[in-house]
Amino acid sequence: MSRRDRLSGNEAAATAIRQIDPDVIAAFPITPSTEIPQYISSFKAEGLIGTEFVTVESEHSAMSACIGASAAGARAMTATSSAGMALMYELLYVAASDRLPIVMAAVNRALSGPININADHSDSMGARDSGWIQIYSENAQEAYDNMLMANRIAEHPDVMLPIMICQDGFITSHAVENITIEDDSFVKDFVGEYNPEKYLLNPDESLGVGPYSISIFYMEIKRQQFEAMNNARAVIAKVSADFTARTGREYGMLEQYRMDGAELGVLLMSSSAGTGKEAVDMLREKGVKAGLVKIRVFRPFPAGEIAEALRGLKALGIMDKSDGFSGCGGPLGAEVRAALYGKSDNIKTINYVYGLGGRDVKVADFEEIFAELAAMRDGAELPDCRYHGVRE
Amino acid sequence: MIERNLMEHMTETSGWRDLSPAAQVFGEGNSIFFNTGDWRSETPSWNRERCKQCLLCFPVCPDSSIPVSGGKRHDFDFEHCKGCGVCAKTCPFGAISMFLGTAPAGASDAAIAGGARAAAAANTNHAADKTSAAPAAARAKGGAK
Repeated sequence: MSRRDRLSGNEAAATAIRQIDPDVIAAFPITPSTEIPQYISSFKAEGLIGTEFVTVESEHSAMSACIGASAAGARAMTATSSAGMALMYELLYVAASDRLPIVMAAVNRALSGPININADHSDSMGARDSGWIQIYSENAQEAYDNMLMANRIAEHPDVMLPIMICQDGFITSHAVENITIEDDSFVKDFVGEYNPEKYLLNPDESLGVGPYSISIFYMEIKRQQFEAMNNARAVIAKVSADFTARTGREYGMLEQYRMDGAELGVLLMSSSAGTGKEAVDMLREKGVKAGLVKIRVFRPFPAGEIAEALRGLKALGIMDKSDGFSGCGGPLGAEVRAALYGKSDNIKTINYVYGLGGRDVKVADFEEIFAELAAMRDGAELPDCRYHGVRE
Repeated sequence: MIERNLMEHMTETSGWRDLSPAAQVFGEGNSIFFNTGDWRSETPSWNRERCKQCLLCFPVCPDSSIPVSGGKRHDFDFEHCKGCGVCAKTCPFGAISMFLGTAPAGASDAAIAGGARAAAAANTNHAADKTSAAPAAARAKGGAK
């Protein structure tokens, strides 16, 4: 039987890891994800997990150890944030291109500078082209559920790619919520064993991983990665459907909230979606045709689903919790507009950069944004991109 | 799922579906299929007259490029020798000398090494001992599953 318990986002992710009981965890503490390896250390000390816990000296080493362990045939996991993920950067690409299904609990935090420990998405957005699958969680329940689904997605023979399960630092990672925790036996059964076809510690078969590949081969290997990332779409759908069937909790590539008949919409990821939904409810009561789309899976990018979900809108606010410093908005803005191009060109869009470095985002912020979207729908000229919630 | 072929079936004309995932290398001893010695900047030369067949040289070669059979070493495997010079340092009898250039003495780039290489060529035989490659090739075929 599942049970209700009060857990923070970090506790939720660590609980999922305890229940999965991976072969190897290599992690280095960094705020706000520090608690995850801390909990794992306690689980290990209490004999609750059989995991080999490697206390490395840096995140570069954490990801290197995960790569070695995964190539050897182990189920490997890590947790990190911000500068820690940045230090892993080189190895993130190695993990993906070596097709090692490592699972990372990523707790989103701003990158320096100015140095800041609070939430935004600049860390994982910097890794968006590294070849990792990226799933974003709105709250502790989603962080827990997405962790339970992560291994099956990453380890599927058609995919074999690393995956990061993101949640917002502090807002989700340190806030205690009432969530549903599944039985250990349920998790064991749902996640299953990892039995890679090829692995370094197989005594019956020789294998070399991560060789030098010159220009006559490199591009074909990248084409394989492209295929694997596209294959992940069907696998995510299948695993999510199975999870829904067994828990009743629904997950897709994205979530549509009150999009039926909506004219004004916001599109965003992670914790601010909860605040946005509250604003949508209030506006709907006032007769405003407001709706919200929350992207759950950012890699692979659900371009088709996004275009479909937004089809009826007249004005859309695309909300980026990181600035790409392209001079014309954040990564979500660029990719969502590309998804709409040629499909829903009649939707007026504005790209908001918001919530940087933990800047609070309240229901009133969404009311302001929806008021701007209404003005844009009615003909007001607005810039393509602007900061929201910044002092002028 | 990508079909996983043996290395020998993967060539420069193979499509992406026919290459191993992530360029993984299946089976050991695959370097027999490749000339990996073409980038060395120095090349060893073996003086048969000075050589006492003490066999101190072949175990120190990091690339197994000194073939041994019948209790005797033969000339270098120049398709795999990287020119590191460890064998020359190890030889107690001065029977191995290092020369600048990629090609074995007497081969096409002998001009680079000038007189020294020409002198060495006079008392050495640099025909690569291909017979030594046979066991490695057999191992590679047997090991790749």
